[in-house]
Amino acid sequence: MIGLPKTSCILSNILLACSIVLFAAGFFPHKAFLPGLATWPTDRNGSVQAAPFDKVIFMVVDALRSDFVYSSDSEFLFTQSLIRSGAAVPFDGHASPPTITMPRIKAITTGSVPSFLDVVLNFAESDTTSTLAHQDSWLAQSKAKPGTKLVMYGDDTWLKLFPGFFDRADGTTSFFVSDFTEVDQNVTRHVPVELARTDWSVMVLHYLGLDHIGHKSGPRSMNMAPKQREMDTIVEDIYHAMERSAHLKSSLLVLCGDHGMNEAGNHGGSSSGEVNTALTFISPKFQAVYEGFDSPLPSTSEYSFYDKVEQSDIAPTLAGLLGFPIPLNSLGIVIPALLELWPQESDKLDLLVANAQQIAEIAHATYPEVFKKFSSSQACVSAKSDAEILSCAWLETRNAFQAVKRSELSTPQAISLTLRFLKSAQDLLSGTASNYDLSKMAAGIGFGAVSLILAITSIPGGTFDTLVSGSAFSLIVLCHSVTMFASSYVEEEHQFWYWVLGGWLMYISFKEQRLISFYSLPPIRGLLMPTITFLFGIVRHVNSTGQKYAALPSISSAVFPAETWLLWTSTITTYALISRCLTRRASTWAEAGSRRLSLLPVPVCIAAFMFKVAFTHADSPELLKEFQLLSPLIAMTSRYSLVGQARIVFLGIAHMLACALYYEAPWKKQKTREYAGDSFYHTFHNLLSLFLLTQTRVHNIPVFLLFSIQLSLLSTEPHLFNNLAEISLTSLFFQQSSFFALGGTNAISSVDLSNAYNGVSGYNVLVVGVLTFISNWAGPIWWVSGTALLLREKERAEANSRGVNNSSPSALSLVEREPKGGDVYGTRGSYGEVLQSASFTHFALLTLFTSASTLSVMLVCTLLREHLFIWTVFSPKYLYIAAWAFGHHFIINGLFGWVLLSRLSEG
Amino acid sequence: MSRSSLSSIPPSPPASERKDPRLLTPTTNAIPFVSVKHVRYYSTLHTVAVAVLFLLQFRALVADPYRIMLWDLCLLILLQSAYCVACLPATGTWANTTTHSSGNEAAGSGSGKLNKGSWVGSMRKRPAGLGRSGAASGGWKGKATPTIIALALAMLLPPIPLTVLAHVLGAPLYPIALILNTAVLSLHVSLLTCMPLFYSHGVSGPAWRDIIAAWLPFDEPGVWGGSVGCFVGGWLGAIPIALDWDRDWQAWPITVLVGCYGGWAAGKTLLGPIFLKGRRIDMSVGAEHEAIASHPDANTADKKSR
Repeated sequence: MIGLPKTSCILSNILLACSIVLFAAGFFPHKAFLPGLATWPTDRNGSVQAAPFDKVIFMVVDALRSDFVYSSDSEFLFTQSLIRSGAAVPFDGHASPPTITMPRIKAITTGSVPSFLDVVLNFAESDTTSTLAHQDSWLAQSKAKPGTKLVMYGDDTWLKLFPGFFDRADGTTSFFVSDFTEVDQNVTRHVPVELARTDWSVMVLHYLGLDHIGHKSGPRSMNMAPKQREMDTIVEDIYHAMERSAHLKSSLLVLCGDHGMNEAGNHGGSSSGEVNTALTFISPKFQAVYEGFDSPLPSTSEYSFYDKVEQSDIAPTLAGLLGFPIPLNSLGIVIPALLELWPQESDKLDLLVANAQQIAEIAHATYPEVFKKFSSSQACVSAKSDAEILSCAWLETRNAFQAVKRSELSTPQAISLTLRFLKSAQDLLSGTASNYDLSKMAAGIGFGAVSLILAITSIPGGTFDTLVSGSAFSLIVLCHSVTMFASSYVEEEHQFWYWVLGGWLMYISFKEQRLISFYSLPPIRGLLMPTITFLFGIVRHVNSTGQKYAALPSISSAVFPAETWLLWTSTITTYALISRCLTRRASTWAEAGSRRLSLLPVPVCIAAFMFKVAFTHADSPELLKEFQLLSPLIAMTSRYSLVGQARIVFLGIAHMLACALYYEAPWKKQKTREYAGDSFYHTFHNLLSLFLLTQTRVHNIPVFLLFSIQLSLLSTEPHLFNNLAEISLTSLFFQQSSFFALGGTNAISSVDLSNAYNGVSGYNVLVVGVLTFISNWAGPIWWVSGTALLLREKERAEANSRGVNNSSPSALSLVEREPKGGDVYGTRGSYGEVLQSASFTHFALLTLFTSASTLSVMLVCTLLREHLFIWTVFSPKYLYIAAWAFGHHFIINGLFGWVLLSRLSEG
Repeated sequence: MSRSSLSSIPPSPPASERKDPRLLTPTTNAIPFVSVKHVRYYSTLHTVAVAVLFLLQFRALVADPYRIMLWDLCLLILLQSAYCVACLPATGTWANTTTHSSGNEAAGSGSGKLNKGSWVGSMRKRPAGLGRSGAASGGWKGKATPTIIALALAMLLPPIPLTVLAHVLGAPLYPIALILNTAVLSLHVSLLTCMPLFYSHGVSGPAWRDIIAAWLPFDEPGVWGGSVGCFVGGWLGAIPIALDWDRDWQAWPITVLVGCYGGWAAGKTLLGPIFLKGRRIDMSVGAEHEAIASHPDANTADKKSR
């Protein structure tokens, strides 16, 4: 039976999905890239400038911020001595955001500016569209040379990006950031062997240890100096080999970072620490040309030390230095300072001409009409737009080349003209603001608006039977939409939700004080809400989230590492509580089935806890060091693989779920039990909690204990809520703030991947994606399930109060409540229907919120598309809101919360 | 069986159409003005004086929040004490609660019209009230004792729970020195809101039960209106902190303090003296629901109570 509200609600959700997809298609245009490999032009004369180098050792140190090498605090003493002697040419490599490894490697190798979609693909790495197998890059160019071999050691992102490129490779995965040494030793042990070999011409080394130290303990960590010394030693070894070995005489060492890190040690955004990387070209040959540079330099807050170059400039520069055509899609400029290597002015110009022609081709492809229109210099007087000015500049530059040939113009003049053209072409073409598909974006917004209107109409009449709930709901929806327009409120969205939830809990607290409590016991009377509010105060301090105050100490970053006993006792309590509740249910199954069934939950919970201990031992061993009680457990679990242990936990949970389904039989009408669905539901909620705990990092597990206490207190007093809308609001606030309380933000850098591979041995996009989503949205998912429980309590209380007056005070605690013998209530027939309509109302309200906030984010992204923060604040927010809508709203709240859970009520 | 017979019983209607049976009954009466000439003018003057003194200090407050807040606190103690003495009836000198809950309906609207006779009567009835000695004489001496006691109570009892509450609602824990600022903030809030309440209601259990349920009637002197306004204002005052404007005044707890004072002044002037006199904030569904529907102010107030 689908009524009108239901139809329009479903329709609203479908339209919302369409609008998100449409808008994304216009907002994140898939950048067209020129296929194939660049080749030398056929008319190229034979006497080209000789390439100074024939081998390159490309040493990437992950998160090598510029000051780690250049400043006076740096431990790169040997590299600094090379800089002073002129054997090393230092630059500030500018990494454009998003500053995460995969798009950065793309920029470094192809010279292109990765589109924002690459951020998403960074997490879905095996996606074939994101590999660079068919794109032009300096690796592809080297590979195309006959008889060359490529070798690669380090981060396996390179192996995923360049499948089949490397003749010898040993990839390391950046999985446990607690590993500071092994990831790097794995690379270093290959270096002497490879240096002795003569067959390769490109060697890529990618060291991860420094990044891990940053993630773990920030740039000022005490591990940083030894790591810098270690990296410096590798530079020294390679440099000495280059000096000594004949086959390395013409080799070039490039030492660079793929991105930097902020003061908290994270990256992904656009702060000056994240975008400024070290980039040094090293070779003994340079000493003949360069006199040396001052080094070390004093640190600056802007992290700027030497000439600033783009990371995309690396590709054309290497092309020039190694002597192959510039990769087709490169937007880089041959680094002018390195042009000094060619003594002849004409050679320099030739290099730049090739560079300019290659970039002009991209400009042609990007603006075909403009370039056709401005094919003669007469039209240039009227040039207005950036593209038109660029096409005229190209015209001018081309004329200058001719003039040089006719000796009408001096070569240095032509060089400066060409550099100017290259710079403006690079600025314009890397600017991402140029190519939005506004019509698709407008269509997306239109769909979103219709979805919002439908969502409003789908709310059943009488939902807001108090003015408080009505005005509160509309105010919150409105305020949240408005705050999306302020970049600081997007960055600090948690503040909004904490603020709203705090006020809301106060409101409920006042209501609690007015109730004639079912509890006559003084210790509990009047204290439910104060306790819940106080626990909320603790929860909000567990993680420092957002941008501005992310580095502040919090319970998880300051208290737990110091007081590990607190962490582990509360973790054990959390598991024990779940185990106890499950056992209680299982013992009733034992009456129907085997006696031993009641023991089933214990091994499952123990396995889950042991997995958590083993995982923590690998992920953050410092949390276990002080807590000696668990050492024997670690010794035991370390013998088994984490993947296997996770699978055992998942299997155990699945087994329990199957048993619960079989014995509770929620779809069956049972004579003895009134609310059969409820008892199944409690079991289900506990199993879900166990699963979510498995997908949560250990320092967040105590939060779930606090959540459980909050939920069970909330559900003891169903009359706290006047109506469904108030439950929906409470649920919405808890869902949203729990996301942030567990460490979520609206920045890409905070996506937690540590639990994405639990039980996965290979790489499976779907499974890893689902596990990533679940581990990041664990809090909201938990509260969706919790809300279903609250709704049940509320409806049952309503049913009770509608029923006979002697209904005993339902002093029910969340997880262990025994369904009452139902015959007295007399409302049995209606309970299921009431519950379903309540669940629907709840879902309709959430749909309204989701479509309103999605619409506002789409509007923000359209109106502020020229804003400075569009790619660093608003676009990530768009991705997050899409994940909220698709993952959380449609699947969790819709399919799972509304369709599935509300049906689990006696058929 | 019994079920079939029971299911034929129609669900019983709510016990009373006018009152939610699950709710307690508020018994507190609205605080009246003492019957002294020009008391209303003094009350307004007091509100203006506190607000103006606060505004005059604002620049200094931004420069050095902690010191100026302490300094303001001294001024506030003097002003609030004078206000209590001048305008409010001391506890025990008036009937602050309705002893019979049946008389509750009348209490809300009638409390403003209490005459002197009933104060005396109530004093006799409540020999345990604070500051009863000399209260009947109505002299300054008789008012000084309840003022000092109210001051001491307001400085000692609520600040600790209020500080905890402020932290729950988002007061920063780092740097640690800010916790002192928060403590002083709660002293301010306590003096603004709790001190007049202690002065007039003493430590009467039923009255404080109603206070923590935000269930006091809005009174003419604006004591309750100012309290509600202070909490709502403080809650709203937190909004600008998250913005990235990097202004000095965004530092904790300046905006919240401004919100508290602004809300207090607005609430004290409007809620009670002008609007909603004698009404209570209603958070229930049912019969009384229509009553709040006509008073959106009450609604926003209770929703946002910090």
